[in-house]
Amino acid sequence: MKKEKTVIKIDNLTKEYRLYDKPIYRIVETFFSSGKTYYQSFMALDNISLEIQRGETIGIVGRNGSGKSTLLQIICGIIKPTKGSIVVDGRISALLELGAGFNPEFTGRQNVYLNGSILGLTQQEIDSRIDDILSFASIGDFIDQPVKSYSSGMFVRLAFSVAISIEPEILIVDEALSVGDEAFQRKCFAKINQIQEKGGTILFVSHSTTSIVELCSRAFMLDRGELLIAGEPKQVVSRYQKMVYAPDDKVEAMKNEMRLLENRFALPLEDEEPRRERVGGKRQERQAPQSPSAEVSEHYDPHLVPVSIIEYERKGGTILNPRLEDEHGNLVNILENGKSYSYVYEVKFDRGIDKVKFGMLIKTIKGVEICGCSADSAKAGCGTIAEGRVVKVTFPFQCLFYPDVYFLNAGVLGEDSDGEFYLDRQIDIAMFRVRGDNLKHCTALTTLVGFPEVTDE
Amino acid sequence: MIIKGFCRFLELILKQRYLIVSMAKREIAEQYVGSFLGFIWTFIKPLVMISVFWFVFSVGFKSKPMGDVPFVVWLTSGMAPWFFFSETIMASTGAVVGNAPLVKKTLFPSQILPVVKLLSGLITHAVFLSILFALLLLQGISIGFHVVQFVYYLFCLSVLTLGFSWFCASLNVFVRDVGQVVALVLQVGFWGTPIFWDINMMSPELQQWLKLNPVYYIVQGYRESFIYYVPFWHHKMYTVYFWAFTGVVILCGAYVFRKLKPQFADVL
Ligand SMILES: Nc1ncnc2c1ncn2[C@@H]1O[C@H](COP(=O)(O)OP(=O)(O)O)[C@@H](O)[C@H]1O
Ligand SMILES: [Mg+2]
Repeated sequence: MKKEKTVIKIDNLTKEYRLYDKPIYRIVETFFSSGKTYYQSFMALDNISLEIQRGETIGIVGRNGSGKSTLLQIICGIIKPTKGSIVVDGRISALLELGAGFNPEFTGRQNVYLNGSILGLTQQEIDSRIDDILSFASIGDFIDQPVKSYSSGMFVRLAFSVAISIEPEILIVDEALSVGDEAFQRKCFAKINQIQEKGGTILFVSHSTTSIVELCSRAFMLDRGELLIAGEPKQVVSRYQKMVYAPDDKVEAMKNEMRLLENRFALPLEDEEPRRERVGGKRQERQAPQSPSAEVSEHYDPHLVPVSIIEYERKGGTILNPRLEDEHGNLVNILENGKSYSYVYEVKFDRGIDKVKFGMLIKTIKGVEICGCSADSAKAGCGTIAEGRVVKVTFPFQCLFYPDVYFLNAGVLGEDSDGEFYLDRQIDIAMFRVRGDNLKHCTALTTLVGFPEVTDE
Repeated sequence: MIIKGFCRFLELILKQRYLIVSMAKREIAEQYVGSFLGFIWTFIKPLVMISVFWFVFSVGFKSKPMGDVPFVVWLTSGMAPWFFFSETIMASTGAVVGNAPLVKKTLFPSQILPVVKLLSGLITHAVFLSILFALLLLQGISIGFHVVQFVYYLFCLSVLTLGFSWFCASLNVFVRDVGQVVALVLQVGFWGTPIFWDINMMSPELQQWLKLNPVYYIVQGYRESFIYYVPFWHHKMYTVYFWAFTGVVILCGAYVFRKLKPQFADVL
């Protein structure tokens, strides 16, 4: 693997979108430049400079509208920067939008050929690769069905298979991978690893911070067209998450803090452990929350709600009002380390059932499961359930989590002659943030360990 | 510079020939996907069109045969190039907008889109011509070697069409009214070009004006290739005029397209 060769070099790149009142002005201005300007300008990318070496895997994070897609489009050469320079050295294959270049009326196979030719392959070249493409996409007989009958997962599998079939030197993927199911994502990651091993360069935008931490050698964080920080993925991701879940009025302060970081475009590795290790049991230094005394210690932040709740098909029950309460029954989602809280939800049963179990699970943002509970209805003393009954389930817990953001799952299991099944199950149904002082001695996920006593023996 | 641009374009066409051909194929298949008669529709449309015009003018208005050729043959040979011209321009006008996902999200040379439309239009044109040949045979008109001259006129037509197509396709990205205007102009053009009426009905001065329409050069050329067998160098001045006009059109078309192309992805 040749190292230290710059494949993408961007200098002072600026992309300005011009918003004209009337489209005709755009044409007029293109051909006859007059002193007057007829447009409002919008800076999608503002003075960005970066360099990407051969063999790197870069993850890009940023809130919606921060210019990630624009940056990728510019790197691909699809749109022209307004100012600044960009040099790209290598064959690019890009997956910017699901199904760009796919025609829904045609079969998957026909679309593979068409897409292949857009990528610059000849008929024969595609012929020789079609088996690989199909086996990677693994959509079976659907390949000869019109693409419009595909699920979005099948769609992305086919599109990704075609995109990697040209053995790109630079692979660019914009959010597309998140559509596939877990098994396929694994497969994509395996493929990405393979491309990495061959010395290929990969750039991808993802909202899955886990994949960024797992896959990337470096991460960039964009916000409102500005490259805020770059460097070690875990650091970038954790700052990103802090910003995403921060209240609006604190974001600007956080951004300023990042702008003042000494080496903000080269955040170093925190320790010597290999980067691909799971986050689970890992030592990780996190910052204590900023200025905790400046605000009420326990309260409810209406913005702190999960954006992507995964609901499974309901089979006779509905989980309602999942929430956290403090000892006085107040609604909270900003928790103080060390205090006691309850996780509460109601369940409405649409069918009668003898045996049920109420479950919950607390996870980190990266999906590491920390603790859970599954309680028998009989032991909980509510007997058999009649149709239409509504019960309130309360899980008391002591908040011994390290200051960070956590997610909650909820599930209700029923049992009948066919065995156990979920009456209702919802993933990431609620979330909360934990704050706490004087916890700097703790690392990892919980604060179960007290400050050490050190005495002379 | 012009020559260099032209060479680069030819190079691109050569490099992207697979893409162009497969897109043109898709274009044709797209029109008929899911329909029962499929490709047969390509024949039905021109046949119906020719029949209607023939019925209206020969049976209805009792148009006389043009010299010693039946009216329907004369009509078809004029209509074939016109339809190629107008259908291709219409299709090209919407081509960039219609392929927005490609233009916006893939590295796609959008200047080939009118070429794709031209190529798929050629299929319909071939159908038209085969109907024309059938009519010639049916009427017992001898088909001589001179017929190959139509290839020259087809080339003229393609260059002219490509120029207009680039122009309309790029403008239409920004101002969608272009599509409407083009449809209207082509409608007027169909009646204003001596296709189903004879230019000789007009006064000599008016004829001079009508000949300024470059499409008439081709309509006349098709008729002279298939029916009258007049070689194109018999119209020296008209040929020079046509190429001057077409040269301006293709250069303007290419210039406008190239100037506007970088902004396609911004507005689509
Ligand atoms: N063609 C366009 N014209 C005007 N504004 C645009 C255009 N494309 C994107 N933008 C604006 O640029 C910003 C960045 O967009 P984008 O790169 O898609 O963000 P991201 O992918 O990070 O969500 C957004 O605010 C968006 O509204
Ligand atoms: Mg985006």
